[in-house]
Amino acid sequence: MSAPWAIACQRVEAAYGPRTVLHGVEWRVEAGSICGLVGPNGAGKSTLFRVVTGLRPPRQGEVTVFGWAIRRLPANDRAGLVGVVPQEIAVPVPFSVRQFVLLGRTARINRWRGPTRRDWEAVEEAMEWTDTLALADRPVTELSGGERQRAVVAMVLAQDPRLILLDEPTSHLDVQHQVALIQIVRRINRERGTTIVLISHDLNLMANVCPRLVLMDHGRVVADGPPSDVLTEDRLRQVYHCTIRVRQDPESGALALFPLFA
Amino acid sequence: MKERLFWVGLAVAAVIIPLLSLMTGPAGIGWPVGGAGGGNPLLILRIERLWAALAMGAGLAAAGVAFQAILRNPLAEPYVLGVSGGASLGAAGAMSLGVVASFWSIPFAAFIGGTMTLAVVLRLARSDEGPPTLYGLILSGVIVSSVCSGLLMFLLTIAPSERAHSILWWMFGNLQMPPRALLEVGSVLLGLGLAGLVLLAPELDALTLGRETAHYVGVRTERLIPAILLLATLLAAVSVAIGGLIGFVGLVVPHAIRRLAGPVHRRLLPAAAVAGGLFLALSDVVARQILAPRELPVGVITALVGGPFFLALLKRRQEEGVG
Repeated sequence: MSAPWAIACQRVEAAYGPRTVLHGVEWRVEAGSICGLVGPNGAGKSTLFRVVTGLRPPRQGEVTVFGWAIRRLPANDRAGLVGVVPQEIAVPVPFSVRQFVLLGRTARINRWRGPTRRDWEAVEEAMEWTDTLALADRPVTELSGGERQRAVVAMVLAQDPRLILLDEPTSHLDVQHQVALIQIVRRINRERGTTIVLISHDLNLMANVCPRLVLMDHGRVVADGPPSDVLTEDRLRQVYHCTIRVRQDPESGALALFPLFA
Repeated sequence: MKERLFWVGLAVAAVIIPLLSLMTGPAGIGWPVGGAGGGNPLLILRIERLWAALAMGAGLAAAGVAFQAILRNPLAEPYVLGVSGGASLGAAGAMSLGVVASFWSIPFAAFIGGTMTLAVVLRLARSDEGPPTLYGLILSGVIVSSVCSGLLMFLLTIAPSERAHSILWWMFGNLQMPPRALLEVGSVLLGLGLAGLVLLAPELDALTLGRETAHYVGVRTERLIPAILLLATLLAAVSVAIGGLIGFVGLVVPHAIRRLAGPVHRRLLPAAAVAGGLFLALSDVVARQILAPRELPVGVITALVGGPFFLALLKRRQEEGVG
């Protein structure tokens, strides 16, 4: 039944005022896969996210999510298809973690009767998956960076969309918490069949987490494929304008990338 | 546990404060005694006054809750935002034109005035990138407010003297005898506005995380943000139409209740509405008693409580370094 493409962008152009930031982007993501989006600052990754989530209308081109034109979907249907873990969520009021995770259910909550048992079950399950049950009654405002990021993932899990976009989810985390978060995301992909799209500047992490990478530069897709094909030293020099070594760990086969500061 | 205690406390206050309000007045403390003709005009007077305080306080507090959520600004409040000032200008304009025949016209004129000032304030406070900042919003609110009060004084000067007198009296923030029909119309409008906001409580919760995150969890932000702003403006404007310019109720009450009942709007909104009404009724009792037999305008009391509260909040934000 389900469309083969979780995301299908055809000749997508987007602009902020006179400044064009996406130039005819062609991008497809297979349903149930994990795809990474890399590229220098200003390459258009975040804009592409905004177009895919319907937050920004593209100036030209077509965007479909699981075959649906995202801008024409009602808000609650859209929330069932795409969820986002943003770069940073500022929480100005002290929601408890449980209340915060419930916000993922916003589109489903019955406004007359309030959250039902099913909503609360989804919340508990999401907290279990993200190891935040112990934090359930703590105010979100008092969590550490790693805890808070897990709470955000729990919120999106409670929303239960078929596609989750994560925008720099690990940028504020130490290595231990990065690994923990990635494991949660992989498990969601494996056991729920949720399609995952990751944005990150951490090329090492991306090379080893995403079976497929899309490299963007100046609003265009410049390479698309398995990490070892995309992240070549020549191409990285063209895109990042510096020398980046790419080596492979002989034991694990993991790619290691490091810039040279000469 | 803390929350249960709060609800019990609110229920107790909801009994004591109205009783207190009915038992105090310039005629002395005690249950008003019936008149010679059999009726009890004094009691009826006090009931109407209590009614006005409860309705108006509820409207202002609920409006404050909604403004704070949507603008993500802890200092947002009808008075500080200039909405009350604009609403009072609208209402005074209607009064000075003499259109008091229908009691729909005053809340309506207040709503128009409030909506227009809010539009101007949001426009002025808008920065190139992203939503209005904390200070931008307050500054524009204060400035637009003072323009409104300038226009109001102009209206007062040119209005016929008997009308000017009634405008002036109402403007001070006064709960003495709003006309019964205005009270009835106002209460219906306040009830509708409040019910509307409570039904939008899930969206209000999500919108405290910002427009973008709210969009991601399925809120139709482009329609709901204006709708909620209009509902909050309606609540503030109708409150102003009932009792004039009374400041800071929408600031003090939501903050106190958020601490006690939590930030979830499904509970916060009704609790803040009840507490706002009780707060204003209590302030009115104080205003009546503190210099008895002379009466202070109730706005004086709320400003004396709310002003320092506002400054303390502002100070705390500065220390946290939030712009």
